[in-house]
Amino acid sequence: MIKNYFKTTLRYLWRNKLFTVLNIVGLSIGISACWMVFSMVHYEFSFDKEIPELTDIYQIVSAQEYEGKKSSFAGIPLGMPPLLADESLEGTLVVPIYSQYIERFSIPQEGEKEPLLLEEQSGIVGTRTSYFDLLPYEWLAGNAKTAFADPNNVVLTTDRAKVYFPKSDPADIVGKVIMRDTTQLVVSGVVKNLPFPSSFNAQVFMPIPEKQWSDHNWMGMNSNHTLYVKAKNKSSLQHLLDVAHKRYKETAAEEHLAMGAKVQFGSFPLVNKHFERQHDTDGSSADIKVIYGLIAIGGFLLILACINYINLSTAQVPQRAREIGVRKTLGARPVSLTANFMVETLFITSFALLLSWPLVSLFQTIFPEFMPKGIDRFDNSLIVGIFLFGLLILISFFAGLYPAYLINRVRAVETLKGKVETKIKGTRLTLRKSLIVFQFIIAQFFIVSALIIGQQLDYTLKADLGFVHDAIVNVRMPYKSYQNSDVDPFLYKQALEKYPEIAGIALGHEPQSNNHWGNLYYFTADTGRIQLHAPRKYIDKDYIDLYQIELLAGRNILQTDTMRDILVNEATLKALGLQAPEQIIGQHLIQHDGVSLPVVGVFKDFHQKSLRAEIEPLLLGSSGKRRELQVFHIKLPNDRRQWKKALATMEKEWTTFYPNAPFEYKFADENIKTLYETEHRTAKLIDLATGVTIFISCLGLFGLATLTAFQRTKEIGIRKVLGASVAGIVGLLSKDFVKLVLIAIVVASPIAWWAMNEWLADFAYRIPIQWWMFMLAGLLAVLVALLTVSYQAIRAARTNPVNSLRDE
Amino acid sequence: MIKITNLQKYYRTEEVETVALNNVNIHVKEGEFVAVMGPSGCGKSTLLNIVGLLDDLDEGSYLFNGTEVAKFKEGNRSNLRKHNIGFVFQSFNLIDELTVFENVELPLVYTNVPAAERKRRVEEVLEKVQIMHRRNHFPQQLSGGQQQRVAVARAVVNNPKLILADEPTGNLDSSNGNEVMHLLTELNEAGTTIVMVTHSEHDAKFADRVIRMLDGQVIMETSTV
Repeated sequence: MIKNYFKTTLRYLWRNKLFTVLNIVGLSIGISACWMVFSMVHYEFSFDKEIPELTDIYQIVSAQEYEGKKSSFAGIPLGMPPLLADESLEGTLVVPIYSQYIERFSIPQEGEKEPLLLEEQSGIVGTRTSYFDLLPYEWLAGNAKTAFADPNNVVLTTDRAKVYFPKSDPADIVGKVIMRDTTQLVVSGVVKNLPFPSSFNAQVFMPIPEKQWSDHNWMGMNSNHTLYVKAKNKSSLQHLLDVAHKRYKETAAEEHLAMGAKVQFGSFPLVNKHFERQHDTDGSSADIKVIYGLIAIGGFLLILACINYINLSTAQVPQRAREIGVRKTLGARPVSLTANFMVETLFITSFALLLSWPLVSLFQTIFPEFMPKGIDRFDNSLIVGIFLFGLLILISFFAGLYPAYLINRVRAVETLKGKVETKIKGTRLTLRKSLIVFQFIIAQFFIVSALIIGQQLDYTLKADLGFVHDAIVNVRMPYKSYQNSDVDPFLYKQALEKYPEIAGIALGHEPQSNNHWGNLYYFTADTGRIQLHAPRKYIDKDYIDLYQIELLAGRNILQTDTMRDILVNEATLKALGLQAPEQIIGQHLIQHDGVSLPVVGVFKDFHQKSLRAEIEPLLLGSSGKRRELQVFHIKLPNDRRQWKKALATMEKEWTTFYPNAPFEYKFADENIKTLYETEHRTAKLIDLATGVTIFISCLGLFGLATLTAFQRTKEIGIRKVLGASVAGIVGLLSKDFVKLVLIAIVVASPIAWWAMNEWLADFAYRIPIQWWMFMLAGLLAVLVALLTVSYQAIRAARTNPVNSLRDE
Repeated sequence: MIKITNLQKYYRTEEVETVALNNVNIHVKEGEFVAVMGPSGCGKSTLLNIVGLLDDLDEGSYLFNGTEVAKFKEGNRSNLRKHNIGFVFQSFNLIDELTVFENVELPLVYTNVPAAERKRRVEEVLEKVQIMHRRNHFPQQLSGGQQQRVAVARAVVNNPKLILADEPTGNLDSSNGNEVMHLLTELNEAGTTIVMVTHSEHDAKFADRVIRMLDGQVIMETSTV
């Protein structure tokens, strides 16, 4: 019996290649989506879960209150860990983790003359041996007790050991030397990387430098300094927090209060760490809302795909009615018919599963940015395999159920006489039609969203930002000690100015970027002393000209080392309650430390941040220091053919001044684009979702069109005999489907409008949502629907009526 | 074998009720070959479907081998059908996805006959209808006459006591038609009861008895022997 099912199923699927392919493709999209979402979700939820006694571990955080705003922050004052380590109760672990910045490692290699040079290595932390008691590291060489015996000891993970000592075995690495500037660090141990995803992803461990451990500062907090506590019970934890509060009150509380700030220490369980965005210090956390969104998208695509399968296979039922009738007449029981159909669904789903394998790899290759970082480091094939198997059974069961039910309703008597169910009238809103409408609502929603997001992103680049940014190249000044960073940047500037192919050069922060120095200033107005919170960008005298920033009053800054001229924008005037730009010229802004800055000019507002933010007060201050100026801005000539030459000149001069630093430039336009990285990612995802939903919807529509064409064969025949043209009949058939799409457009448009309005609300400067966007999206949907339907419609219209009207 | 008394059958739509069969009384003895004739729409196919337990009756009684089956549930009917009745249709109704052998085998599959036994019986019956050489072909690859022979083979493979044939020669030319009629006659001579609906006076001559119908009623019964 089973063999019989398999045989018929395979032959049937082969004979109906088109439907088989449509079904497999449709389901494979749903399965791929679930597959990817499952591996991502499983990855995100497995963070830290294998740490022993996980529920006893907490991270200590600082909750601050400043100007009425509360915020919690992962950084703790340096004074806290040594105190808590001393005061902790029996059985409590205090684990400080201080991330360390090391400019360059120089690692002598066996048998090589040149040492291995590695810049700004990530994942270097200073900690205590208690760190290794907290986490289940496996030691390949050395041990936790002796690892930090010497202040210059360093422990490596296997991953990092492979990078630093590519030719050596972990056991042989102990005792080897890593040079940090002139200090010798000695490898004292090698641990295996944690075999599970974890928030603890440091790769290089060293004892906390004595300078940091003996720092009893309670004033400042920095996210580089974090603290974890493992406590058997809540009271041990509370005891530590009480100790910290007591010391804080004695030392820093008063001074903080004078500045309007209050700090309170708190804790949260490590179990939640991976989803604690605000306490994330290394970007490894995940947004739980995004995860839920992903689950929703995965589930949604699966449902759409199942709906399609049901649609397409029920569309086939009338064509198969005769076969079912024969089987019934010959004694097939409902159970065996159902089983037969379930086997068929299982086949299709299995093929779809096979197809989703390459689809998933394809997605991961095209959109690596959507995959969580580090997901490929852990093998999840077993759990994913189990999930997929479950999914296979689930889909086969649910997607096969309704068509199987319909098959069992087929009345043998009618089918055997050549009659099939033609009772479903073309105009009635059946379940299948509502499914199609539902699918097109989603598709339409995504089309509108894709259009509007595209327009807004276009606007972010093409909008008048208040400064001219094309043909400008940004080059970051070298800042590392061995890169000749002490060379005066103005020397490079002067060198370039001699060349005719360099249209201009200026120094300072990028005009639109998140880089700036923040400060608090005081201004004496008629009404008294006013506080002004304003970011300050450092510039040189050519900056205003280069970016064509308009001066409304006063003069440009003068280039001197001692002068502290500043320019302010219009928003600053507003913040200070001044009307005319001239009113502020000659006045002074006083820094927190008492230094007085003369305001020499007012410039027209420009967008110093992304278009999400309102234009706020901004100061442009003169500076001659590399540390403050940071970036070269070089204007290329108008003639594009000269650019190559200009870039060559820049590089040539660069190597003269900075022989040890790589010459790396970026166009200002590209830098501006990076401000909208999230949006570009969203746009990419929405574009993909649009494509997929349109595709899936079309599959469903195609199925319905097939069914309708079949049901109306006789009607079409009669109309043709009575003189209808092919075009007329195609129109007749298509009309009904266009109606469905129109209904979907009407329903989807307000939803899309609302959602896009919400999305655009993030932008202080945004495009208006216009009626033509909905029109265009609607037109697109109708066009796609027409194309989908036309194949079946034309085929039906061209059938010879003699065939369709013959009864037997 | 078949005893139908006072059979009433209606077709209802939302507005009208049509009487398909009106007060029909039929008695078919075991081993008989009965032809049912009448113009299109007279109810003869409906009658055949009721006899074959594919359709139910609204009023009246239907005794099959002495058992009242008029009120049988689908499960019982299906059971009775697969063990006792074979069907031959005008349009053959072979399953396109199955080969000749598999089509004929199907009723045996549904009655859980072991594979070896199935093979023996299918081959035997294919021999009998002289289509053995085409056993691995698909229906589309056969002529109409050959297809109908396969259909007949399928109808008899289970050794049913009764064969119901609905215009078995309707789609065939006269020589293929004759072949099928001879096949049916042979089966009848071997003891199978046959009820056949037909338009053809020629085919009706093969039967022992002809029942003539008009507008849902039996109007005449004639014996041809």
